Formats: sequence, C-alpha cells, structure tokens
Amino acid sequence: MDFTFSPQHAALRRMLRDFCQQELRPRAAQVDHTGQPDREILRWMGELGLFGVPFSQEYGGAGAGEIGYCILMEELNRVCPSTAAIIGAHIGIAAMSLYLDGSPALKRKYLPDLCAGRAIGAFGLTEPNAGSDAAAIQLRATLEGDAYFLDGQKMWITNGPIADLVMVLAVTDPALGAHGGATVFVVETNTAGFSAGKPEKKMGLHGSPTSVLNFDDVRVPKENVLGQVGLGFVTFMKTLDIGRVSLGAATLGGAEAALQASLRWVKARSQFGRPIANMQSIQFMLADMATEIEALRSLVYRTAWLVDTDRPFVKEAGMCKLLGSETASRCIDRALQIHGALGVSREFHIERGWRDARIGEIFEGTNEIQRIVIASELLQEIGVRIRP
Amino acid sequence: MDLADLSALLGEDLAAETFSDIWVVLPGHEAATPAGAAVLAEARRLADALGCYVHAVLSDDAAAPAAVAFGADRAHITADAVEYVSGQNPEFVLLPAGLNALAARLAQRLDSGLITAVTAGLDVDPDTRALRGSRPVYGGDYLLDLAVTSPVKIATLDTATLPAAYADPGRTGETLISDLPAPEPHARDLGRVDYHPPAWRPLSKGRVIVSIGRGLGEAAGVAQAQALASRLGGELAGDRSARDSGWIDEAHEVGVTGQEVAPDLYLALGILGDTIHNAAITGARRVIAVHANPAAPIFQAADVCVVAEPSAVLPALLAALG
Amino acid sequence: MNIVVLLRALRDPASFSVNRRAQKIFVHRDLHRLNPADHNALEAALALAGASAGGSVAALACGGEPAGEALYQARAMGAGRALWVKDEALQPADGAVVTRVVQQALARLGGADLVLLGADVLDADLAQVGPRLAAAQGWPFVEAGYRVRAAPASQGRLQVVLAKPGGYQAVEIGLPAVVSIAVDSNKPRYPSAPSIMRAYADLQALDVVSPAELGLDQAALAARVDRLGESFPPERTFGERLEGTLGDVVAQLAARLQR
Repeated sequence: MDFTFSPQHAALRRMLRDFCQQELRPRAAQVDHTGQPDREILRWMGELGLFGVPFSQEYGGAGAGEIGYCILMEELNRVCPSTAAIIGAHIGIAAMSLYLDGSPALKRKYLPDLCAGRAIGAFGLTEPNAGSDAAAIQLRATLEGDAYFLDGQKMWITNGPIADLVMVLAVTDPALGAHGGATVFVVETNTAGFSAGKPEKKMGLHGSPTSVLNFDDVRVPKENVLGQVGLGFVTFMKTLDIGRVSLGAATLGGAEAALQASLRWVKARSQFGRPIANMQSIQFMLADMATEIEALRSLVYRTAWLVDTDRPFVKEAGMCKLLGSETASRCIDRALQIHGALGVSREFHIERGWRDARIGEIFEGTNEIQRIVIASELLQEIGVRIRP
Repeated sequence: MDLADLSALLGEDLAAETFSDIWVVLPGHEAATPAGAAVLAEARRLADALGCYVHAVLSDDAAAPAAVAFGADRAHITADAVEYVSGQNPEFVLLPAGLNALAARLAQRLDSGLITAVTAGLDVDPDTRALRGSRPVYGGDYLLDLAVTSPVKIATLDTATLPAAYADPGRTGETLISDLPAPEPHARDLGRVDYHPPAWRPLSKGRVIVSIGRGLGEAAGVAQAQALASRLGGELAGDRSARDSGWIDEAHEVGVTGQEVAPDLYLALGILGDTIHNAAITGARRVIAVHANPAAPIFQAADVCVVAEPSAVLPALLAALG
Repeated sequence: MNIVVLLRALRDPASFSVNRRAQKIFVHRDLHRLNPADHNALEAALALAGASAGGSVAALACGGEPAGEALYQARAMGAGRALWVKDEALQPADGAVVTRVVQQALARLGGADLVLLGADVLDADLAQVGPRLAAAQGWPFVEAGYRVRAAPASQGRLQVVLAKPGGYQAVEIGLPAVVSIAVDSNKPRYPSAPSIMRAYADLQALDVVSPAELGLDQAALAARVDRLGESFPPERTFGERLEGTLGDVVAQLAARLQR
C-alpha cells in the first residue's frame, strides 16, 4: 500500500494551494456579501485549466483524474465554498455527464469550451415535483423533424443564471417515464424559449447562483442528445454517483479550514488566565475534529483511487458524501462554539462556513438518499435488490 | 594595543609575515561609518586573541585615520580591493554584510570559503584555524553554524548585530598606497527611473507593517503613520477600531476577522490589542507597541513596549529617523 | 537571448517549527518548495524571454528529489529546458562547490547570455553563488534587480532596475551577465493544471546528470565551508519597556527601527 500522492498531484495541490490562498481567499467574503460570483477570478481559473481538471487532455482537460479533481475541490472549498460550488456543478455533474456518456462528436463540440471555462455548465435534474424522487420528472421533450422541443421547468439549478450550457433530463416517452423514457440534452442557453429565473435567496453559498430554468418550447437539435435516447436517467445516476466523491473532497476542505481556524484561536485566546487550548473541553473538540477529518481524508482519496483505477466505487462514493457533509457540519459547528461570540460574527469566516456547509447534507442527493444507496449496495452484495 | 606592543609581547617581528593576518575590506568611507567601525573592532578582537595584525583596505586615504583608530594596524589604499587583497596572501578577510557581492568575488578569486551575514559566534578555531560563525536562515528562525576550512577564510558580518565600536584616537598605524588602476565598471549608470513595483503581495505577506488603532487619537496622525510606513519600507494597516474610524479599508484590517499577518516588524501605534487583533499577529517576528495605557493588552504581545501618547511619539520618531 | 535560471528547492517554512526553548527543529511534513526569490527570478526569466524574439529559458537545479520537483515546476510554468544535476550531497553544499557545478552545467546547456537567480536564499548561505559565478566567468554581476529587460537601443545589453534609497535606479550592462533578482519583485505566474500534468508525463522533461557526468570529481566537490550544526536565537521575551523622557524613548525606538 502506498498512501502518498504522485508527484504531479502534489505539484497540482501546491499550485492550487498558492492560488487559493493568494487570489481566491481575499475575495471570498466579497463573493458572499454581494451574492455575485467573481467573473474575473472564474475567467482566470479557466485559463489555468481548473474547469477541466479531471478530463483527458484530448478534450482540453488537465488529465488529472478523479484524484486531481478531489484535490481541486478540497482546496477551493477550504477558502471559498461558493466558488467551489460553481466548479463542482460545472465539472462534477454538468461536464461529467457529457464526458461519461456523450458521443465523441458531442464531446469535441462542447468539452474544450467547458474545460477552458469559456462555457459554464449546469446540470438540470430537479423539478418542482421531483427532488429525491428524480424519476418523477415531467419536463417534456417532443421530437419534431430533426429536433426536439423541450417544455417544462427545472428548479434549484446551481449555475442556472450563469450557465452557457445545461445538461437537462427530459421525458421523451411518457409511457416509459424515467425508466427508458428519459433522455439527456445539451441545451445552449442562448436558444430561444430558454430563460433562467432570479437567483434564489439561500442560507449559504451566496456567491453560487441557483435558480429556476424555464423551457418554453426550446428547440434542441437531435445531435445534442447526450448518450442514448431513453437512457438519460442512467446517465444522470451514473454522473451523480461519481460526483459524490468530489463532494466529499469539498467537505473535507471545509472541515480542515474549521480545524485550522480553531487551532489558531485556542492558542491566542485566554480565559481564566490561560489559553483556552489548555482546557480539556476544547482539546476534546479538537481531537474529535482531527479524527473525523483524517477518516474522511482516507475515505475520499481511497474512493477517488477506486474511480481512477476503474474499480467499483458506488457504495464508497455515497459514504464520501454522507460522512463528508456530516463531518463538515459537525466540525464547523464545533469551530463556531470554540470561537464563542466571534463565531457568529458576520465579519468572520466561521459564520459563513457554517451557513455554507449545511447544504452539503441536502444537495446532489440528500443524506437519506445516500443511506439508501449505501444500503442497497450492501444488500445487493447478499443478493437482495431494493433499488427500483 | 598597537603594533610595537604586540611585537614586543610576542617576542618576534610580526610585520614581516602577513599570512595569518586579518584583512578588513572597506571601500569608500566605510571605515568611518558605524558598520565599518564595527567590523574593524571585531577584527581587532580576533587579532588580539590570535596574536596577529589587522589590515584595513580602503579606497580613500582620508578614511585611514578612522580605520586605525578603530583597530587597524595598517591602512592600505587601493582602487581595486579584490586585486590588491589577492596579492597580499591573507589568511582571514572580513567585510560588512553590505559588501556580500564583493566578498563573493574575492572568495572566488582566492578559491576560498565564505560565510555571509554572520550574526553570532565569530571566532577562529585555535587548532584548525577554521573561521567559525553563525548566520540566520529562514528569516532568523534559527542559525546555521558554519566553519570556513579553506586556506583563506572570508566572512561578512551583519553589523546591525554588533556592539557599537569606540575609537581610540591614540592608536597609530602606517598607511600604504597602491597604484593599482581602478577596475572597469561593469555597469553603466542610467540614473533614476520612474518605476513602481507592482503591489501584488497581500498585507498577510508584508514584511514591515505599521498598524494604527484608535489610541492614535486624531485622524491627523494617520498621514504621519503612513509617512512612517513609507520611511520603513512597509505598509500601513490598522485594527478594527481604525477601520471603524475610516482610517483604513477592509483589506488592511489586521485581526482574525480581517488579515492575519506575519511580518518581520509589526509596529502597533495606539492599538489596545484584544484577542481578535493579537491572535492575528502571532506570526510577527518582532512587535513594537506604543500606547498611552500601561495596561493595554497589546503590551503582552509586544517585544518592545513604549507607554506614551502615540500622537506625541510619532512626529518625534519621524524627525529622529530623518 | 538564452537565459538560464538557477533554482533551489528548500524545506517549506510551513512544514516545520522551531522550538527555541528545546533548541530543536520539529519537521511536521516532508514538503519542499522553490526558494522564494528564485521563484521571482524564474518569472523574470520567463517574462524577459517572452518579450524578446528568440528568447529561451533553461532551468537549472542541483540536489536531490526536491531539486527535480523545482524543475518540473519550472517546465510547467514555461521553461523550455531543465537540467538537473542530481546529487543529494549538493543540497547543503557550499557556495564554491555550487558555483563550480553551475559553471559545468552552463557548458552542458551550451552556454548562456544571461544567468538569473534569486538575490536571497532562505535556507542556506548560497546567495554568494551569483557574484561568484560572475567572477568565475568574468561576467558582470548586478545584485537584486527588480526588473530586467533588453536595452532598447543596443543589441546584447541589458537594463536592470535596482532599488536605491529614496527610489529606483537603472543600470545597463553588457551580456553575458549574471543578475540576481530581488525577492517579491516579479509576481510568479501560476502553472496551469494541464501544463503541470504534461510536464510530468513528458519523460524528456528533465535532463538528468550526475556531477561525474559533468566532469566533476570528488576533489572538485570538496566543501570549503563545513556545516557544524544549528543554533537558536534566545527565547523570545515580551514586555520590555523603554524608559525615560519622551526624547530618550524616541531615540531608543529610532535606533531599534534602524536595525
């Protein structure tokens, strides 16, 4: 067993650490306060190839695999969860679905722009009446001649207001529904009939715009079918499976930032005549944080290794998302407690981190769904099939 | 002790043998500056222990009396120090750290080892005659203990860490003048240029920070603090109270709610120093604090404390620094 | 203009802590990075080569694995070539030895019009390599340049901006030359993620040689400076008060600030 990162992944992390600390960190509070993504830094990140880290260089990616992508998400989320969410939705689900199941022609058409950040991607699954029950989607795609016409609505779409391309799941055969009757389309958002709603007012991730997407008879050429007609649900589930690994990596970064801030504070803050680091109640919180973070780190990077070496990873990916989001929430909550009143100050990043972390337990499959995924994988191993 | 005393004491005529002597290279008027004087005094200290002479290599004979007064037995005047010293068969050569490049050229010429910017432990191993010295690394986090073992040994001294030297006007020494021509200058001076270094390093990486707080009193002090920051080659920052007073912006607020800093020098003027502020300066190598309140918590985080009104200290300090 | 930039890798300051009371260095992680001023020198080299037609940058480093990593970084940032004089013993080596190695390496690289390197070395007494190399080659040396660019009027000359008390000043030198670059002067570009991966995928990214292959025997590598060990500054004390009249206090303060 070798638990070291390869030299190229270590070099990638060094670059990302420098970039995030020097360039992204100073802007994180501003991004949160204004609720606006920082377009300039996104453009810069595109130039540095950060919008295509896991994908092969053939399509303009960096070729750093899932491990490289996890490093990216960990480092981004350490300093700016809003920016991490933009990149996560763009790479982890939008571009990933195209990368996994798109035809070579479709990949050649869109991936280079996606990888360079010239086009920002979004992933359209959730609808007003379909969340965890993704199979209940209603957005309709009708074939007329050489094009489909999409009609309906998507909701809670990360990157919705800023996306240039949306990978959207639509019903092509209502009789079959999600199981054989749903198809993924790549929709250019400048197409007539498409519109994004106003950014939602959320508890956290203020700099990552989320909105409704309206499809009003949007014409999509047949060539923009991603994968096979009717098998879109499979593509999306596969994409979400892999996306959970990097989501776990992002939560790892958030938890680490909380621990780092706490360590600095307990050394500096004195009460009852001694640094609070000397108090056992504080030490126990630090020890628990560090232990959970180390467990998460091992799980995340081992799972990324499973992905990169073509081994089965679905169960572990669900665990990454589940353990990661709950670990991050717990760690940031403890950090807030350690910081006392300062922890709730809106001038301080712990409060922002606390707000930003909570969605981790909800989006890209709630933690309840993760438990179902993990259980179904476990039961399948003993011959019991519970997934519909 | 002068030359005659030393010769008498050792019972031999040392003047005939210059190998094993200490040469101090001080072009220009260096010998008359505190830095040059401090190096001469160090050379004198070593020479007294070793029983050898100190030679000062100068470029201007006007500096010779000062060189002798501070410890040289002989002053050599030359326009080409590297060439001249190379022909003198020295065993030890000392220079101030401001002349590191010259020292390196000399070391290369004499195929000798060189320690630069020695701050502590300068001495000669009595058995091996190695020249030992310690010099800081990682900005002073620790020191490397080094020993030059080549036949010729060269070191430059960080003169700021040396004690002030005192002249002995009664000392005597001879002056020798060489007629070596000055070397061709490599660089042609183009004079002043209008160049502004891009300010790309965030406050968190600043090396000198002058930081202000409400204890500064009037807004008028802000301009003076800015002038002091410029004079010290640093940046102006402040604590939360300074930001609330509109004296500094968010990017220049020092505190865990703003920027954490780790400069070589942090000068706190009128900053009371709560945990939010003090926790953000734990990485500073040296903290100097000025505040009127003797109980200000900033003094617990400061190496050097001045209990006084910052508004009174600031103009006087600016004047003193010139 | 063929530019050679000399790089040193050192232990990342964030990877260890110094305990003055225990007189010990505690290394937490095995992390190395480029000497900060060398990073600025590398950027200066890349910018200068980019601005001049036919400019090329070769990176050169001596030492063990960290030196190799520094060279991969240089390739990822845009250096066209990299030469690694691979020898663990060269990591702590002294100025005279490194200078000798660099001289031989320059010959292997086919010579240079300009050698750039950092004006400060954080972890070792190696800032002397620049002026030593210039002396050994008989080339001009300029210390702590902020900006380097080709002289506009004359071929084969270089303008270097230097910091002087009260402002900046320019000098012009003939090539070939050695110029050390001031720390914090040229903001290093970030290597892109694809270029990092490409550098490591390229089996020819680094030209790796041993000192012996450069014609250097043990005698040539014999150190002139021995490293005896480390020592530590006294433990930091807080709360020293300057006493006296305002004039006395200000005078003491000014003296300390001038250090």
